[in-house]
Amino acid sequence: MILVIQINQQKEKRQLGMLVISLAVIIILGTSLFSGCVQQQGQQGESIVLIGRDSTSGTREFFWTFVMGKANFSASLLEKNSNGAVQQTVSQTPGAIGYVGLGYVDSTVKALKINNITANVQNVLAGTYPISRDLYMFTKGNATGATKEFILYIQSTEGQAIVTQEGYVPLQNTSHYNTSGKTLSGTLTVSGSTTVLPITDKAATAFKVLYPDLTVTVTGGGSGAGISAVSQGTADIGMSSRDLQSSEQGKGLVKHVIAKDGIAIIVNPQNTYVTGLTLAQLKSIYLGEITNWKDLSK
Amino acid sequence: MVRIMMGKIHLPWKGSKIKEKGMKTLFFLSAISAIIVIFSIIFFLFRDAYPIFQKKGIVDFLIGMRWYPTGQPPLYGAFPLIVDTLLVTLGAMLIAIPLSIGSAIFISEIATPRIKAIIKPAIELLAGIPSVVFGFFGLIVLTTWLQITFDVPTGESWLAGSILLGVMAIPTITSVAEDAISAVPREYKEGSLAIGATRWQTISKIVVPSAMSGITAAIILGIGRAIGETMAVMMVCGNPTYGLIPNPITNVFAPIKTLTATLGIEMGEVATGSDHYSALFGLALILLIITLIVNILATIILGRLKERQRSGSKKQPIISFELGRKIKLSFYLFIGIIIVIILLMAVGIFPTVGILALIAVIYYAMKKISIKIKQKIAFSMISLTIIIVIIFLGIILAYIVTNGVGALSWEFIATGPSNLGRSGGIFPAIIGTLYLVAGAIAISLPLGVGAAIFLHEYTREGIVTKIIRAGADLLNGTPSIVFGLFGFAFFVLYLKFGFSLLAGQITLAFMILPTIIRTTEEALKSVPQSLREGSYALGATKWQTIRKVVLPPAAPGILTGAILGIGRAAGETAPILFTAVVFSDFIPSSVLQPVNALPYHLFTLATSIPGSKQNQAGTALVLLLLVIGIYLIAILLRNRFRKKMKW
Amino acid sequence: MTSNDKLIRTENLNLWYGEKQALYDITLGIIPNKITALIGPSGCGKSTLIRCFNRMNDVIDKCKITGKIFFHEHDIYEPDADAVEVRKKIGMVFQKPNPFPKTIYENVAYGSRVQGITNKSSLDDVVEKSLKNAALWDEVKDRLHESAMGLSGGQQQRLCIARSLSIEPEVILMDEPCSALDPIATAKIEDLMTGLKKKYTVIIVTHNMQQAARVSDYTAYMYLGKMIEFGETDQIFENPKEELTENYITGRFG
Ligand SMILES: Nc1ncnc2c1ncn2[C@@H]1O[C@H](COP(=O)(O)OP(=O)(O)OP(=O)(O)O)[C@@H](O)[C@H]1O
Ligand SMILES: [Mg+2]
Repeated sequence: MILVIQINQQKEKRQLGMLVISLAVIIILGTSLFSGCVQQQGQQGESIVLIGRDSTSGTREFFWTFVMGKANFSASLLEKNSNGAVQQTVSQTPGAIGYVGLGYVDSTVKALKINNITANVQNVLAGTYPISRDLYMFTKGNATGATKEFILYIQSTEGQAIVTQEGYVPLQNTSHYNTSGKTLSGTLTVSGSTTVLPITDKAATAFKVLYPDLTVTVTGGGSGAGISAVSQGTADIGMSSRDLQSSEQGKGLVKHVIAKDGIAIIVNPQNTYVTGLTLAQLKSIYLGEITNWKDLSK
Repeated sequence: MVRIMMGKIHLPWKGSKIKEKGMKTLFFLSAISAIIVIFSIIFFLFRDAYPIFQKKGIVDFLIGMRWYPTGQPPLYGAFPLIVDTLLVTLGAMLIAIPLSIGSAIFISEIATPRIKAIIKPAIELLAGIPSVVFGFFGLIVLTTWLQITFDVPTGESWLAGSILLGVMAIPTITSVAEDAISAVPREYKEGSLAIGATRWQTISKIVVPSAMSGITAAIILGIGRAIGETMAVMMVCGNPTYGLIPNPITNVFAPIKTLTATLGIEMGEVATGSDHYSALFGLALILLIITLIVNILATIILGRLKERQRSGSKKQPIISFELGRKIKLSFYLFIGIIIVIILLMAVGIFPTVGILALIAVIYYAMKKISIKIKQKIAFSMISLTIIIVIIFLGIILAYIVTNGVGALSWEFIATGPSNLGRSGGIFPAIIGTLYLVAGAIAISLPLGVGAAIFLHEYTREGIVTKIIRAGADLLNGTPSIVFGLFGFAFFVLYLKFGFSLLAGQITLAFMILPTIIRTTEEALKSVPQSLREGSYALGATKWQTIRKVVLPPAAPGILTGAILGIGRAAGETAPILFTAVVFSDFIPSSVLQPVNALPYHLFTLATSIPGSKQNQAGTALVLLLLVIGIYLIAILLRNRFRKKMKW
Repeated sequence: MTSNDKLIRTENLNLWYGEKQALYDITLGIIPNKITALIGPSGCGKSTLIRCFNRMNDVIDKCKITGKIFFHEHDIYEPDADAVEVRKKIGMVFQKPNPFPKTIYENVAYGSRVQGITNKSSLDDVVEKSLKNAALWDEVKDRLHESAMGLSGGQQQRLCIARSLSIEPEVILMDEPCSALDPIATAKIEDLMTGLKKKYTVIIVTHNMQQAARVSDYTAYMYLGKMIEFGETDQIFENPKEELTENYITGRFG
């Protein structure tokens, strides 16, 4: 006979009963404790969740200057480090509102009319959509060689076609780019603003077809990163969605406007409270004065 | 005749002596590298942080209530960031400590050998999941789940960060605590059982108290890891713009902004040399100091523990009986009062009274029920902890595998990304990761092995080894994002490497250096002294002995360390974020060019490229497979090596 | 002698550690209020056997037992039996002194505490009584709240004896209790054992022939996991029936 250590069956049952009871008590205790901690209960998507860019973003600086009149954002603004992140968060969060470059508007979010004007390329071009700005590329000194050609390419009709295709606002009165038999080789490094990134990425792909010997690297990182990279010489071109700040001036950087961008105000598609805002309402929202969508739908 | 003989003997002897000296110097140099690195880090952080301290004053920097570097006027108040960092760590520990200690007890005291053989490696594998993968999972699954389940405006919150950090800290705490519990002499356990204590009484009254200092050290190490963690926190905590202390302070659904997240978000875009830049280095310095303090504490406690084990148990200091009881009592009282205050603030008077009454009822019920039922309850609770941990692990892995497997294809592995990574593959990122890791290991392996050889073979334990070990320990505790900032300030800017493979490789190498030193030392320790003595007795020099007799049996152990280092380097994002990586389809042809890397590719896709879900999960899966595969090799190797090392 | 005279009785006890058999068909009876010595060469299974009596082998994962062990004619290995209850009745002292890293007082009070006694004065009584029984009281009465780790080896071992006496068992198992001690400490423990015999039944494992001859009333000789010979100590030492026993006792091997 093989002997095993075992407890009496009956005892076992009694103990299991005790076990279940004690577990139940613990679970009840746990949940009551936990639900006690839940403070912000409310209707799904009713409170406004403010989404914005981090403090070094060009988009944020523009928004802050233009919409906020340099007044401080509400302290509950949640920071994202890219346009894509803002868009993604707004698409996942019922009560969210955010601002992104026009190029980032797609079916997962809803762009609001501002002062009753729809956010689209035509309206920015026509000058009726109120929130728009220039996009830049910076070079150290005047652009030469491959750097110059690349910027010329983006500013050309072909480059601006990409701008349009990516949902941004093209420059007016452009001319066709021609290679006129030039050959370029080596590498060209472009880095900076995530707003400009989609344009540059596409343009680089097309540009490489024209100059097969040339390698073009395009990286994000943000406007500040791009500007510091180009002033240190670690990048040939710095993409930026804002102009130079005082600490960045005097380093011999040359500015090239390559496109215009409208800033779209986006909300979650489930948001049934608003379809448009005035600039004043937008400001109140980001100041934290209006915190509930219901206050706007009246 | 005699002279010639002497000459013959003398000459090669002299030659070997020079060689010996040379080797020793070389090893010494690699040994002090850890110290040089930690001091350079502190120096560079301080150098770049100094302007802001000078301009705004250290005190104002520390206690300022708003972080708004681009405002007018710019505000540099780190206080909310510090508080948030501590809060998220506190929450993480509330989750991690019970789960980890339960798991540790389960593994070492309750599990049958077969279950132990499965669960222990499973928890060790949890340590291998890169933090960016946790962040990815947190961003997509956890925050959404929290938002819907608790009906809060956004799931990006303190709670989300604490849950992720808690899960991430579990393997660290569990494995150190498990070591401590397993190290409790079997005699104690038998002594307790032999006078009729149950297994649970033995565990709770003898085993755990005896392992207490090891468990404490485990918790402190876990705290260190949680405070320094960047990517996961940055992705799920919401990051309110000025830094925000939750209101009320118990509101776990408030978004928060930690020191590391602030660095991770703002460092990439800041104008170099500006006040803001300097302020970020100030934050990094604060972060480093906090983690250094935490790690020094852990080191001291663990050091004491080792000393006690070495010098036998005789001199063990015990606080006097009465004093010990008073301390215990006042400690419980203190905890009790804090809990009551928190309850009052969180749920109001009536529920608090209810909860307290419930606790009292349970307490008396526990007194009434028999010792054996108590044991049953305790064991089920402990088994519950391990089940929860395994469920966590299972959910994360299942999510990534089920979502990622659809993206996997030959094309995905072997081609570059297109349309900003929404389509196409991740070939450049895979290659970039391999380059980074290869470079990092090529730099850190010789340095680390050299340092360990110096520590273990060339010096007696003394002040020198203490200092070098302290350096390595501090380096080990340094948050990865701090390595990133240092790499940026030193390699990218000061040495003008630019964003480059080289800068990333060296930064990663420094990060994994302590792991290599430690595992190599352990491997050397396991080579019996008698082998060395045998070799000396045959007239071999020190270096010959090391090379021919010591290193061969230690090789598997060293290899394990190297593999662990590789796994860690492959999964890390923060150190390469500001030194090496770019989001591109570019494969570098020189070490001075930037690269893409898997964790960074995943990070960028997950946070910046909408509509890339499929490829996000695919990248996460490849990264996970890569890192877990590497860890698995290390674990298997270590297990084999342990078996073989029974001399 | 009938089987009822035996306090502990094993019947065809076999024990395996995994695949390896360590005890073969051990049948043995322990007489109450006597000292029984287990002797035999190293590795023959003495510790294994003595650990069966209080089910300490339960702790070892791969250990499998067949056969029966009766204590007061109850089979301690039957499914209903509770190892914890068995251990309360059958205490154990180990080869290496193993006081807990607690105070002297807490070491002795531990057994009562785990049985749920919290009353301070009854704990004090238990501690004092047990320490007196273990002949340690006078040496430690002024330092009860100091660490037990500060005691000498012999004192530690007597503390462990006091600890096992504290819950008033009927049997005390001692596995080479003196092997880590010097002759003076050994003598003290031997005296103690002789004293304990009045109240307790003692089973002792020893490598020391003189010790077995000096203190024990009965002696069992084991070899390679088998019980070779069991009888009164005088008979075993002066007139062994088995050749193996004689060889061992006369020092021809082992
Ligand atoms: N936990 C265990 N696992 C496997 N085998 C064991 C274990 N404990 C003991 N053994 C084996 O069982 C046999 C009997 O061991 P035991 O410790 O009972 O011998 P002993 O007579 O007490 O020896 P000693 O006089 O050296 O203490 C030995 O061969 C030993 O190797
Ligand atoms: Mg033995």
